[in-house]
Amino acid sequence: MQRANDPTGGKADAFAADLLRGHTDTIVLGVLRARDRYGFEIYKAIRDATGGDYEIKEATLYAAYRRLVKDGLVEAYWGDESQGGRRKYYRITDAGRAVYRRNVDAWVATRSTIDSLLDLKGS
Amino acid sequence: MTNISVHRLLDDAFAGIAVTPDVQDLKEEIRANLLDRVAELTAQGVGADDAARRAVDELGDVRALVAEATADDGARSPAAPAPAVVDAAAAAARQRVPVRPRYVVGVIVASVVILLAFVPVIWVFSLTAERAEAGWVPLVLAAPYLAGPGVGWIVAASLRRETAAHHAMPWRRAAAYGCATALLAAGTAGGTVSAVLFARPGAVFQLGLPLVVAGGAWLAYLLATQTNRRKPWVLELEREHAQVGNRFEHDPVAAARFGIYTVVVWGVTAAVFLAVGFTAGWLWALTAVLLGFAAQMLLLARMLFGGEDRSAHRARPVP
Repeated sequence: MQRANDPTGGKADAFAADLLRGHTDTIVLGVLRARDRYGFEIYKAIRDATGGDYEIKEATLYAAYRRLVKDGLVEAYWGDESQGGRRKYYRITDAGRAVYRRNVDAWVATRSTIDSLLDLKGS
Repeated sequence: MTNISVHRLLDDAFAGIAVTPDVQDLKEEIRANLLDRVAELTAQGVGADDAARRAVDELGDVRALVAEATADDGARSPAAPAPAVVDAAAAAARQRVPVRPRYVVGVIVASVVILLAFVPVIWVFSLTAERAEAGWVPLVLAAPYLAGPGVGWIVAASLRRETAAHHAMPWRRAAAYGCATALLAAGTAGGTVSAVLFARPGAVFQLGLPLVVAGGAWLAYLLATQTNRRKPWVLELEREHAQVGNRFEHDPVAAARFGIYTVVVWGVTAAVFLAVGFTAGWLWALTAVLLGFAAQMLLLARMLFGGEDRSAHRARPVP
């Protein structure tokens, strides 16, 4: 991920971007929960959700799609568009939904742990 | 024009990357996304060419992208299945025709219609002539004309679906195939049923023939005009062929060499022509012209299309 309009704190941004990149697969699974989507829709959904502050690099997304398909978490199929570019749609599988829920639960648990850890005052 | 420039930029970005089916797949996926991004940019008021360039620039380094997206292809553990098996499985996955509930339901309904339509026919024909009631006759006669559209529907829906992994047949064309088949089926079955029912072989021709001829002619027309030329992958091939280009335009030295060779070829040809003509006869002299022509053509082919990046185009598999 990249800060699109970089103001000052490069370090803090790099930290946030790293944190986010670790969750690309889960984010994509989340985007696919409601309905099947193709690459640009997914990209746009993520971009719009962050208010345009962060952009996931497309290369990262394409790699994520491949990985998710290979792990059986999503299925890919070509759309019916008869001319121009064919769209490759992704559909989340039951396994994908399970992994999504598990990852979200893990994140929620970790988040509170990290919150309390970061709040520790050395004595 | 927008699209053309996106396609060209995409080709440029992929130039020099070995075209495996996987890479081709990725390229097609990227193409559709690029077209959407360009549409979004042009809607914001960016000029067509700028939009295309920006969309492709946003991809970043395509070589790295391809490497990242297809990273796990190279590393196969020894226990993994042989590459051929993996490739076949990957190809099957790529070409898989998605199951659509509508299609399945439609085929079942059409099959049931066809079967029900022929129930009265079987019923009447299984009885002896005396016991058959006149009330059944309209049902028997109607059967082929109910079943025909059913058959046509199955044909049309299957054609529309068949190539979904590539590109579905346009629905109008699929429907035309369906109608033609329906006419053919209704004509054949209708003629036969009435001939048997009325015990008059001539009825086959009177009732069936017009429909069969119409359906057959329509089918022949459709088959004769069946073409791939509007399919995107054919357009893609055309673009690639156009890209091979004219060597003489960007390599003046080659063009000059070609001119000199041409003069030499035809000079020698003329000399041989005259020599053979005066000694062995003028008919034999024509052989020299033929050989000169062949040499010229070979020279042209070698020099016009030969050149530096031939290997890049040779490796391309036909999708």
